[in-house]
Amino acid sequence: MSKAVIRLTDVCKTYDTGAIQVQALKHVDLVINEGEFVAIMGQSGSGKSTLMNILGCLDRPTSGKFYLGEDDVSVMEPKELATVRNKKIGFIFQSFNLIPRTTALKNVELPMVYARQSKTERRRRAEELLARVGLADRGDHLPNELSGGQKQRVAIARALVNQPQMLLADEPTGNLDTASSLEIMELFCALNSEGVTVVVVTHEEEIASYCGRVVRFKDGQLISDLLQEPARPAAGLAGVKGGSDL
Amino acid sequence: MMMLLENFLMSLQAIRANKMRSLLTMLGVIIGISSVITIVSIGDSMRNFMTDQYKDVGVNRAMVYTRPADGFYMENDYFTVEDLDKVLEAMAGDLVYADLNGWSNGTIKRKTLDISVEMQEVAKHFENIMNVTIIEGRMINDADINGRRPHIVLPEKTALEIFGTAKCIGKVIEMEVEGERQELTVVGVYRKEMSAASLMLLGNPTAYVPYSYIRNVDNYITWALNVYFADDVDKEAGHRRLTNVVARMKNRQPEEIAMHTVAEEMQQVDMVLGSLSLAVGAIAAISLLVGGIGIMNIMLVSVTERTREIGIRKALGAQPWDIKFQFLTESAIISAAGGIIGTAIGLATVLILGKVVDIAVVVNPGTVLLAVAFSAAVGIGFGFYPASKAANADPIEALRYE
Repeated sequence: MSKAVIRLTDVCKTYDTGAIQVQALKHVDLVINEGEFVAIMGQSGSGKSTLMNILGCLDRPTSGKFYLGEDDVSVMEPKELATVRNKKIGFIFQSFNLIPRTTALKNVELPMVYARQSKTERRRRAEELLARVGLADRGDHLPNELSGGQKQRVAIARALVNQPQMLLADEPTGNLDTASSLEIMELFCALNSEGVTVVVVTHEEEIASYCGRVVRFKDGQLISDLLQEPARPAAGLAGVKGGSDL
Repeated sequence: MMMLLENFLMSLQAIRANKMRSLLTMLGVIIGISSVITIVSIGDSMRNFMTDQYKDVGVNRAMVYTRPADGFYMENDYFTVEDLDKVLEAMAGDLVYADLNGWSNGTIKRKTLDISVEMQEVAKHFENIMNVTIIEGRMINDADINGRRPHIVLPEKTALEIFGTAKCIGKVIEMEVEGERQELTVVGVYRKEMSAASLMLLGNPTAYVPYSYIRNVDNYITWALNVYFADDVDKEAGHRRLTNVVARMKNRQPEEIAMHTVAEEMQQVDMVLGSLSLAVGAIAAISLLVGGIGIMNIMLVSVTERTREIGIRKALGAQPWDIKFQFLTESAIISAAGGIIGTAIGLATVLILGKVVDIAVVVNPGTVLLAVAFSAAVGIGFGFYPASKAANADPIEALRYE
């Protein structure tokens, strides 16, 4: 058994909207190990966004324990959470969320700026990662000069830059066409095969089919947790959007 | 240190991205700073100018007269030619010149426009305190005074007005002085450099005539003596000695002898001008405050506009302090740039104004420093609330913001 990256024990999250209390997560237990490629699935309102926020250390559970590696994140102060987000988590968003009017290279460097790394080290590492995602020649492009797929690859490079314990992707192909979605999923598969832990939150079965494990949520509860044989990216992604040749 | 540079570059980028808006925001600070610097410097220059004018008239000068405690003037309280000589004798080491403070006005009749000549009635040893340059002939001398000669020394300007040339030595002027027709021979023409501003303040330069010609010395009395102390005399002690001499001469108590000095007047004018420029400066400082509020306003807009960016930065691990510092840097840069531009405009305005009215310009470096420091403080002070608002934003909410 490999080391646990994420360990949720009896996690609940309640939103107090004044008149009514909404239980977004109900007694969730979940362990994700190093090197796994996990899809978290559910309809909207199932609690997967709430889980995503908690896993991403943007929010704290109302009750229960959340260990990220060795650290108990559920008791951390906002300042410590910021450090955890910076060093241990790589975020990838549906809408890319690159900083506008800032070059791809500067975007990739940003988490290292907040980690107080030296300028030369930042530059070296950012260039290395842009090359890794196949954008070595796009470092000085602004986000609005890049295609959707390219933006998302810059975002992935940015997520990897501080060598996080896991990549946390929220509907990473939601705004992409079929070909770009294929590229991105291939990239995730390749990264995972190098040992990077990847957690993808999605509502698309086709995306989930590339993961080795699928966790399903409904009404704030974990309803199924299955291991599966991942589909090979090249073969399967034709069906993600539009086509049904298979 | 590294963060500082990084923040600075990021802020510059944000400011560049909104050039027009940043410039308009700066405008408030620019106007505030430039008006403070202009107004305070004009005030300082005016004071400096006045001081120079008074120095020109002579810091050694004093006017002495009696002021009876009961308010009743006796004939004895006026000064005669004899009194003048007595005072000069008694104060031989102290005074270099004294006269009876006489001025008269002559009118030269012309077909179209009469020429008016202001004349100072000078006494012996006038050359001791003369501060003008003779360009033709000579100054009134003791022989003129002893001989009661009908001589006159004209300022160049008046000479040109009357004769069309400064070369008019020996020519005779016919003029009416206090209802009597007089004929005066020009013995000298002098030149005095006067700026436009001092002309405005002091008026046209005066002509000089021997008092002994204009006045009948046997029954001439005036209300005051006009005296000049030697440069090396301690003014306070000198004034005290003069007061005592005049008091004894006029049978009055020393308290009943009044003395007008240039230093005294200078102090009063300086005080008035000082408080005036302070008051106007304070009003100008209010425009700086308004500029600061403009910065706060625009920073609040900027924070709201960039809510999503703040969310992204927070998700990537920015500490609240990082965000706060980024926005503070931005507002500080806007106000400091405004301050520098405002300083440049203010200085330029002062220099140009100084050239136009021909006054030596005084710019106090302390004023400039204070204004720029104040503008930076305004930027940081008014940037604080928007920056804190950004720093405390909830990252989840911020990321969701459209």
